[in-house]
Amino acid sequence: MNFTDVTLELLNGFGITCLLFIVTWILSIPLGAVFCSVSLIKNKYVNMIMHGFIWIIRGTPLMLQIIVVFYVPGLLFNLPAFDRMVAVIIAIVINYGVYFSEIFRAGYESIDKGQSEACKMLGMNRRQSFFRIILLQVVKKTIPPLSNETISLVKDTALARVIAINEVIMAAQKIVSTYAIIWVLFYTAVFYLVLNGLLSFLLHKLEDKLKYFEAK
Amino acid sequence: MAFLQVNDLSKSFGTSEVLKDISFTMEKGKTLTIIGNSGSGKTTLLRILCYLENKNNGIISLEEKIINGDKTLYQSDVSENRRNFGLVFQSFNLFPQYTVLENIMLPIKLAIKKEAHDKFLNLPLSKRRKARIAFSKQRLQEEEERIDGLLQRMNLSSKRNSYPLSLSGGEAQRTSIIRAMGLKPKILCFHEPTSALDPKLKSEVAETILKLKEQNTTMIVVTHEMEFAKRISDQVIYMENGRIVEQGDNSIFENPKTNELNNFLSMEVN
Repeated sequence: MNFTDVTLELLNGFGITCLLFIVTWILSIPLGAVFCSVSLIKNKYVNMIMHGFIWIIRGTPLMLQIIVVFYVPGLLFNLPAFDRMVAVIIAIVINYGVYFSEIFRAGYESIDKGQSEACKMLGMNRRQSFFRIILLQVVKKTIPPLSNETISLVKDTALARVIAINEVIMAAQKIVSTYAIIWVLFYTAVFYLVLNGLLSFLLHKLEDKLKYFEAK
Repeated sequence: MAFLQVNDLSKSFGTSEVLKDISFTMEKGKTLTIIGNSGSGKTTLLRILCYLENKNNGIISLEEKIINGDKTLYQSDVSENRRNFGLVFQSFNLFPQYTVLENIMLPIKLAIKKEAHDKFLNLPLSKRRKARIAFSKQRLQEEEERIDGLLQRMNLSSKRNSYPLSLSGGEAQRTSIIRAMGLKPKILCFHEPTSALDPKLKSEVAETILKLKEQNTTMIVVTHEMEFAKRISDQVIYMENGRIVEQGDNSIFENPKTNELNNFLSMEVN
């Protein structure tokens, strides 16, 4: 197998990696916002449930969560298994939704109370004060941790191979075991580095764009 | 008749009583300063007046109408009544992502939008939108002219498109004042307007407040700086441990009647 063949084969796998990343990132951000809103509800029972949920998701490996989502419905409830891709997406979206929610919560809670009080004094209702004043400040504060999680997410898509999804690492492993050429495995790093480099660049640009103000 | 009247106001945080039987009146167009040491309750009093804190007991009336009494207030009442008060915060609390002009105009635009929405509710649907747009456009133009005038008077015209990050303390303070005046409150409140400012800026703030006094703006100023308070006050309230110990006109700085105020003033001199 020559270099071009390997590249084409890996590009196939990398397409699945990119698809997984894009879909899970797009879904886990709003889910994170929803989890964050629930965490901010001042109710003892809601908080207890949310804490328990966060504890389980953060305290167990993502690989295990993927396996649970794929196998458990069939094993325990005799339900038809999810499509492999759907199972991976569900597991990653929930896992990253929790991490993103914690980032959003920390960002929201770090905004000076004075900003909301100024909104109140200027006649704004809660919706106006959140969407017009608070949200952009939270976004600014959360870009650096969000960038880290986004890059982790790209790398964690490799866990999809645990249920035989042919993402880039699995594509490489197949070549390694079939043709006994080890360099292919290291070659996959180039694909990750390019994608993560591009994402870092874009997120850095966004950070630069918001440099004109300092979140309170 | 008193413009603002506060009767038997009290407030506790848990078991700690921070305001006890606060009663005072103030006249329209006058400047009332509330002085006292840290922890005397002056900030809590101001926050209750602005509905940023709930009181336990007491009645607050404005122009002989009870605006915060025994009746439980709905959020809509609070929002409506709060519009009587404009507040210049100690740390200004400008919105960092907006320019000076946007900081001032945003609440005005939202208020106009609401006004336009409420005003034409009775019109048939087909005419409503047009009427609202025409009304908003005209009101916005009027308000922009008014704000332009205020920016000029406060020497902020050249900073209208600057972000808060690039403003000096004095400029941020003046922006905050115009923003608070934007919705035409009946009483303009200042919370420690001179704290954390250098002497030159303190004097600048005093000049600004004196300018507002000339225009008969009704103001309540919470401060612990005596020189500043002496320059701007028509009426003074001295607080200690959550109580009003002494109140009167500007002359109480020279002739305090109580030992507490006398001690406080002599500490300030030393």
